[in-house]
Amino acid sequence: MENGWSIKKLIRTIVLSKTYRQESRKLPTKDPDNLYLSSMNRKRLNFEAMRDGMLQASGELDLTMRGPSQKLHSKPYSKRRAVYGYVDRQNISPTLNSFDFANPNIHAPQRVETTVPQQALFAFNHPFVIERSATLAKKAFESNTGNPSSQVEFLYSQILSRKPSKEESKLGAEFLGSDAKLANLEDLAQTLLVSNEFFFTD
Amino acid sequence: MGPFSHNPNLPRRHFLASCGMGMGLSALAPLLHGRGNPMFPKGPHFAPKAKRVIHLFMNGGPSHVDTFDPKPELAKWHGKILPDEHRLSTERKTGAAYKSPFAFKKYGQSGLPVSDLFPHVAKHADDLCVIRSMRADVPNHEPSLMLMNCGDGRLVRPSMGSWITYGLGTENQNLPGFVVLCPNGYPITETQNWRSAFLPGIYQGTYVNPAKKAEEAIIPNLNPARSSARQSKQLQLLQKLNRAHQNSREGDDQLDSRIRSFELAYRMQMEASDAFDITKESTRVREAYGSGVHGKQCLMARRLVERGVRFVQLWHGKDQPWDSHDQIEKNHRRLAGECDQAIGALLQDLKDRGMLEETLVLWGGEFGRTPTVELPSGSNAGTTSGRDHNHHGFTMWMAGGGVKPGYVHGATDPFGFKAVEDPVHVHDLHATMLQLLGFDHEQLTYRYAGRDFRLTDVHGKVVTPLIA
Repeated sequence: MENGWSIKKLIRTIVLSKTYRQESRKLPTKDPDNLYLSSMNRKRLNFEAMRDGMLQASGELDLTMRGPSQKLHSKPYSKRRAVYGYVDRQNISPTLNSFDFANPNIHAPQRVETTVPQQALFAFNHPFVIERSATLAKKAFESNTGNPSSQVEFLYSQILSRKPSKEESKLGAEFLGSDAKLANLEDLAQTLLVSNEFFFTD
Repeated sequence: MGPFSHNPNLPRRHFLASCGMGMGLSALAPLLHGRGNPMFPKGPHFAPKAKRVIHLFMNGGPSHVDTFDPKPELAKWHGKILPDEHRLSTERKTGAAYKSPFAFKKYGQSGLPVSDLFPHVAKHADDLCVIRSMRADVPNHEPSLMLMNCGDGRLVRPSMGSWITYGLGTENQNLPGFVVLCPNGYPITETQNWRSAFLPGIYQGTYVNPAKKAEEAIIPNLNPARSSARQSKQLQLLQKLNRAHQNSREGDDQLDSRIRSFELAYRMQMEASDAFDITKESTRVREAYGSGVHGKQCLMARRLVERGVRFVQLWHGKDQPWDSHDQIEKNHRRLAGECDQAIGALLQDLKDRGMLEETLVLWGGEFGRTPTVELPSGSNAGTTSGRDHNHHGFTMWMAGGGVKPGYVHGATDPFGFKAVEDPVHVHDLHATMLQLLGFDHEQLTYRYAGRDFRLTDVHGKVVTPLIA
């Protein structure tokens, strides 16, 4: 109110608060439902953030602003942010629907959150995900030819923004195998892209 | 009611308390319940008579006076203008009475009259519960499709299949709970017919084109992108990483649910393709259903409900095939010829497998057609051989699922224009269907925008005479 009812300023105050900036890693024992906000509630990415995040990880996200909307679900896939995505209100894309996209024909104060196998099918098989993992694999291969452990490190830092632990490094190198096939790199990149660590933020 | 309430928002703690000694079960709770799995099978309000639904949608509007509602008066009045009190307005201008070009015969113990359009369906006369007094609100396709499917002609509301899947979950987690089959494309108003609207997106119908070959993608992203050896190696690593991630973040159901959803998806890839593969059926069965796309989709429907799918909606075809404004004799004969054998075979097959008792089969369009002839205009310029839309009175039938067999409910006026005896509005049909599925239609609700919504909104009366 003091700031002339500015919503922008209100949001700024909230996101800069100590409460908001807490992490959600530990669940407080005294407050298991976190009613007192002693830590952050774990958040999952919505479809748009997940998609943009994948493009960001593969270094392909196009940050161009403005312009006509882009079809998100047909090849060649738009690399612009999902906020510029074209939404057919008559026939909402089954992909968006399976990720709890808000129905644009009615007002929707909040998205429901479901976890269903159709979302995992997208992660396993959608050509968009396959393309991103191929790009990542190619980059990992080119920048670290023949060295599995640095390839693993490259993928972890691109996708999860951190270095792999010793254990993870070993697992990853084992997964890639000694013949260092590009296909194995693709599979590892996809696995990290669809992991819970990527999909949830602490 | 089982330990799983129909209310998916029931707090998890409540559920744990209701488990009592069942620690083994409660350990599974986050995987199966609440946020974890909105499709888990749930018990309805009371013991159901029907457990699943097959809706045979004759889109475009089949003529009741040419199929299940014989009107000898029409032959007497053929070519004459009906008395004033029987002339009603519909979408287009209609003229004189137009007798049915089809002959009716009585079938079965019940003596149900059926026209020669549906000889195969007629063999099951004693299983049919025919409602001759259906009525809708307006004589136009779009709002009538919305009313029949979503319970409202204008506003954005969830479809009947979505409501039922929301209420009951589904019996097979490797298949979608609500499947829509329509050969070669969408009907009019397209995917809105099976939308989930404000219900969670997972309750939306999954569209399948039965005209496609089995190996083509049936459900989005169902075809594995990698060989199964590669994918299973990926899944192993993924689950190992996810478990490690979860272990440092104790007690979060969401993480667990997502881990489980990958295992389900992996299995779905195999089992779903199998469900749609009718070549797995014997030659005898496939011959009974017939070789056309209707045989194929009726057989798919049986395979789906057999595997636990909750709601299957079959459309006659894309756009609105049954919309015979013109040359009704030729067009209705062709249309019925396409689906009669398949529907008859479906009823027989369900009976043979002992599934008809618990499967509610619903047949009908979004409305019927006028007993008067449509006057030449637009697409039927120059001809007077068809019928216009008719929402004042039309026929639908149900079979199985606890309906009264070999029964005719209600009646239209002597010409078949308007439902006059025991009219059944679409809302009443919905209320009755929910009743058969074990729901009080006033209690199956979802809170949205500050109030509780239901399929029948503020309408609907259960038509008890329809229930066995």
